Amino acid sequence: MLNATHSFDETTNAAIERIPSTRDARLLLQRAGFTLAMAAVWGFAAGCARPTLALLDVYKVPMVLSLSLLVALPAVLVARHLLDITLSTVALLIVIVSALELGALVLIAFAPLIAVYAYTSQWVAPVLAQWSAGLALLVGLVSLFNGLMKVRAPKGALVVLSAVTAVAFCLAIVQLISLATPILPVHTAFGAGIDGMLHR
Amino acid sequence: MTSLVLAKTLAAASFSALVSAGGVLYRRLGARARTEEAEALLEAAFARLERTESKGRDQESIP
Repeated sequence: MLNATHSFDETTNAAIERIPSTRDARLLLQRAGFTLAMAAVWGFAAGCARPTLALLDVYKVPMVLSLSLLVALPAVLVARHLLDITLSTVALLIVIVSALELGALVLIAFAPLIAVYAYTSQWVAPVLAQWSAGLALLVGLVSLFNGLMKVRAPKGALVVLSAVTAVAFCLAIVQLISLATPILPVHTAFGAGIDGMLHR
Repeated sequence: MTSLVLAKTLAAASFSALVSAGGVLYRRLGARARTEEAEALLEAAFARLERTESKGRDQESIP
């Protein structure tokens, strides 16, 4: 009887494990939603010196993050195709979203500190917010590189794909930040986009 | 309408569309996952039944 039950469990588990694609796509959406939620919390903390700005940042920061990915994605997919890397779109998206999730974890780690500083310091809070965002971006890019390096493909092609993804994402995020400005209560170097940064 | 305002409106609309599409897709994928899981379980049950039956037949055929 015990043997039969064990055999039943094994067959059932094997049958359920044979349906990975739907589960992967669902997991991807879950993680993307979680990432956006964490970015929204950071946005609220970063803008909480002004209540209206804080509420607007709840929508602005996730918007910047998600649209940056959306804008960078065609370049990444074309690069993957040209480099002949055998990696499905969902698998590639899982690597990218996992990297963004780690970056968002850095953002959420700094959010309480930024919120406290937003109420108590006019000058340090925006600097802290910008540094935390920069650190989150760095962590995300390193995680992306590590994630892509685990894929079974020529390492040279994967390095190029990582570089293309990083450059496309950074170029997109700079312009989208300028579009969503003001995110912080003071003017920043990113407020005027790439033109403002190059003219500095 | 200046180009900046237009870009901001487009960005907001794209973000709303993206979030809505994500929500709809998540629900659909949930329903599909449940269906696939049920199908896989049914398939496993049939396979088990078939195996048990063939085992029974083998035992009957042994004199």
